[in-house]
Amino acid sequence: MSAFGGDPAGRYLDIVVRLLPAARHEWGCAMRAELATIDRSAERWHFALGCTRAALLQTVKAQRAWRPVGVAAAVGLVLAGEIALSSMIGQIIPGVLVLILLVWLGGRPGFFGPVRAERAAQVVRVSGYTLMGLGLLILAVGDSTAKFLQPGPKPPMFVFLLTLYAGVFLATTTGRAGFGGPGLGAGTCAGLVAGLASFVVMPFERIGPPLAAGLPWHGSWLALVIIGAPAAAAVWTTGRTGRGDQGIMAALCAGAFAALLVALLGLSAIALFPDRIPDIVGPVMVPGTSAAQRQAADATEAADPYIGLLLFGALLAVILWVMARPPSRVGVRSVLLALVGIPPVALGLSARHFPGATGLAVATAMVVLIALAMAGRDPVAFR
Amino acid sequence: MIRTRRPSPQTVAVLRALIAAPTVWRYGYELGQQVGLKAGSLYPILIRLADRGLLETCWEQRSDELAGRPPRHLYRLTGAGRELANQLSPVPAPARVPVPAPVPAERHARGDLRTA
Repeated sequence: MSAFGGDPAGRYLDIVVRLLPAARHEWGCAMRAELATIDRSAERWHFALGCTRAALLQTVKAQRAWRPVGVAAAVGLVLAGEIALSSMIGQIIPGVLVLILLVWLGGRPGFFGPVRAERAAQVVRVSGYTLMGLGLLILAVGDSTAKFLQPGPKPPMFVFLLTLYAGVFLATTTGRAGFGGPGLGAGTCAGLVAGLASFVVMPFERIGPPLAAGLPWHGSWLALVIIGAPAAAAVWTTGRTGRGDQGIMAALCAGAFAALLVALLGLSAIALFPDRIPDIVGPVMVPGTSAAQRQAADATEAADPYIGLLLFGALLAVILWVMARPPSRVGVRSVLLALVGIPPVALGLSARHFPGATGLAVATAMVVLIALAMAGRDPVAFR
Repeated sequence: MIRTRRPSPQTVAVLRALIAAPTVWRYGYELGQQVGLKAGSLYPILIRLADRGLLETCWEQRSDELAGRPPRHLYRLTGAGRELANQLSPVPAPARVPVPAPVPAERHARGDLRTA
């Protein structure tokens, strides 16, 4: 017991200040000395309890070395929870926790943050948070209406893909990332344009006719917009920065953003208008299936193309992340690009029944090949 | 790039209170009462300011007045701290801010603690 902490509040503070790291010992003594000047018992307790918070804060700050372990443990727990709780709540709660974790990590120095002082990066980062939040909202609304994202025994793909997207949004907007503001801004704008155009012409027959049905030539000219917007972003960015890799990254950013937008819009439509989904799985359902089960199966079936598109866009985002990583050896970059470039191409080729999938696969393959050719050039750090 | 954050309103309040009498050494408890901050908020702010070289600290000089109690920690702004405080807000009229009488203090290097 200290010489000046005789009463319960004093003894309590003596214990609390021992929590402080050695480098903060002086501050613990300062707190105890202040307490010694306070007479009223209630006030002494108020002060001592306040010091608890201060001591704990300093203790947490001193544990920087444990942060990665803590983050890994938190992510592990979240993923384990997602798999263990194979229900919608088992996706929404971990999704919210992941979002909170990412927001926190986004403000800390490291892999995900902080955001660089550039408007485009800041807007993209906020958009990333917003879109992930929107995705979780769709999940919540969909749970009460269409039940189209029930994971059942499958892994929680939707939340995983949203997390992947959000991670890339963060990683490409830090000061360490080699993806500059011009490409980021142009890519995002092009993605917005291409995404909206895609959504209008997308085969939406499982909910209703394509929105482009009422447009001249059934909106087929919008295909030019869908292809042209990312290409224009790439050309503009290359011209502006004088670097081809920045242009490629702008095209990838546009593709990933467009896919995310279309997927979220499509899934929102299914969640909001579940009654308009026609009977897709009826003929193959076993007799005795309830109407609710049929509707859920129809909704799942209708959502599949959008989940596929979300997966495709997330894979593009991963290529973008590999390209925007801080400088590394050329060999490492090339191998990584080849590895992450194969899945989206394979996905596009395997979905040939889906209009435009082959074109997407070919375009992605071209982008990956050009990126590989440019792998020797170190990205610029846009600090 | 590490973002340079604007100080929180609580930090600004502490800086304002300290700049009101920039040469006077202040006690932590009274400072907290003046700006309406509890110890849990005040000490992290003081520690952060000291870490950034904006606040200098020292220990109360030993004297008979201590009467068996430990010497208290004292605080006032450094030159950089005054500069920051002046940038954040115009200096308030000194007469309106109640400040204690100057405290006799004995400077020590940080961490060189002398207890009674």
